[in-house]
Amino acid sequence: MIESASLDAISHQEVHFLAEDEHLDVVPNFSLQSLHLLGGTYGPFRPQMKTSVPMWLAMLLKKQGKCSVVPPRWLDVATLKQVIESERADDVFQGLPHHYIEIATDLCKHAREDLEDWNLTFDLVDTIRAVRHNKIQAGLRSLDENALKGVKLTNMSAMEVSVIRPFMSNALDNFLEGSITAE
Amino acid sequence: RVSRDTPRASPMDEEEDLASQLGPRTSQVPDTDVSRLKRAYVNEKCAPEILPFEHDLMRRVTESVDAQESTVAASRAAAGSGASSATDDLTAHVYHAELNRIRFLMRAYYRARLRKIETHAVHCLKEPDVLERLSDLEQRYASDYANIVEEHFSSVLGQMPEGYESMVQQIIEEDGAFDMVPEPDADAHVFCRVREDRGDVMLDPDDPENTMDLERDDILMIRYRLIKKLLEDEAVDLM
Repeated sequence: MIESASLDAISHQEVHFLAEDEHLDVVPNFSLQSLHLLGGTYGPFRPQMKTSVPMWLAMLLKKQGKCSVVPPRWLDVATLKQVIESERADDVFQGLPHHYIEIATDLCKHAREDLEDWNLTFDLVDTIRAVRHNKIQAGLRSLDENALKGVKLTNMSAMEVSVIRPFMSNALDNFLEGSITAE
Repeated sequence: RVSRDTPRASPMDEEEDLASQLGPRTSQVPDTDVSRLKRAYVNEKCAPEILPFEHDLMRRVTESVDAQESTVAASRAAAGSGASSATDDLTAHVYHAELNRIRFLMRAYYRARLRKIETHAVHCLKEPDVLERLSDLEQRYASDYANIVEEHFSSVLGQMPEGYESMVQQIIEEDGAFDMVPEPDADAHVFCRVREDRGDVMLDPDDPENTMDLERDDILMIRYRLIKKLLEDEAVDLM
């Protein structure tokens, strides 16, 4: 039976939208006094002077050719390779930024020239995502009735939660129903 | 040339280096009306039941958005006589983009609530503690919606054998239970994120020995019923 509840659930696009409030550093090539937005005050913008803005604004400025984006420290080839190694070596999840997938996706799409090798970067992030996804699935397979007391998902990221949400909530809802009728 | 005496980084050092390179998992979010609106929306979207309406927050956000729109329009009009500079255009573009984001959040908040009201219209109307969570407009909406649905069903229910024509009772009985009224499922599983350290917390009164250590930024997948109080206390947010 198709669960209409999944139509009400928060979508991947909405999760991405929410991630767009994460801050990034940009280097403007224009001058502008501070912008007093409802969500916060940003700037002043001076050429060659690094400043922090939310990602949606960074992408807007980038698309207008008004800035370059400073990739976050974790989004470089060497660090990402280390993350892959650690993810493969341990059962636990590395403490990646909560919106690492959304940030990497947007930068690899709209700020390619600001990354050292956007193609490789994107491949590495996708590998990280895949390795973690496999670990998540292994974790799901190992769930037992203790899961009904609550499961801690240490270091899971926003998009990863979104991906497993429909399956996990349905599975545990059904598990609960089954365990109640079994009593 | 690496000297033979140079100690290799221990696995512990490498781990710490990686952790510091990755930076914090979450950033500090300033407590503005916009961030509260975002949280209210996500919580409403993820909660199986309807949450208390954020009267003051929505009023303030509506006022702020209206004021901002007037400001932007006024400065456009003032600059409009001469040729507007590129930076004026950029500024207007940015204000416009942010207003769109905020308006999306407001509409999404209202829509998430309406969806739940429609699904549980009769339940909202017959439970006073649920009804009071609705705004005045939403209460009217629930009532109108329930009436329209009942009218729609009566075309079929009117043909049922006597005693079976009710939309809310399987068999019409005085003092009988309203056993056909859809209710939200408080045992539905949700994902939530812990906002502040709470230490060892007893979540399930039916299982008091089972506690969970809740630290800021922990993510839990758990039955809504067990974290409902924490959500009310703003100790967790749904995600």
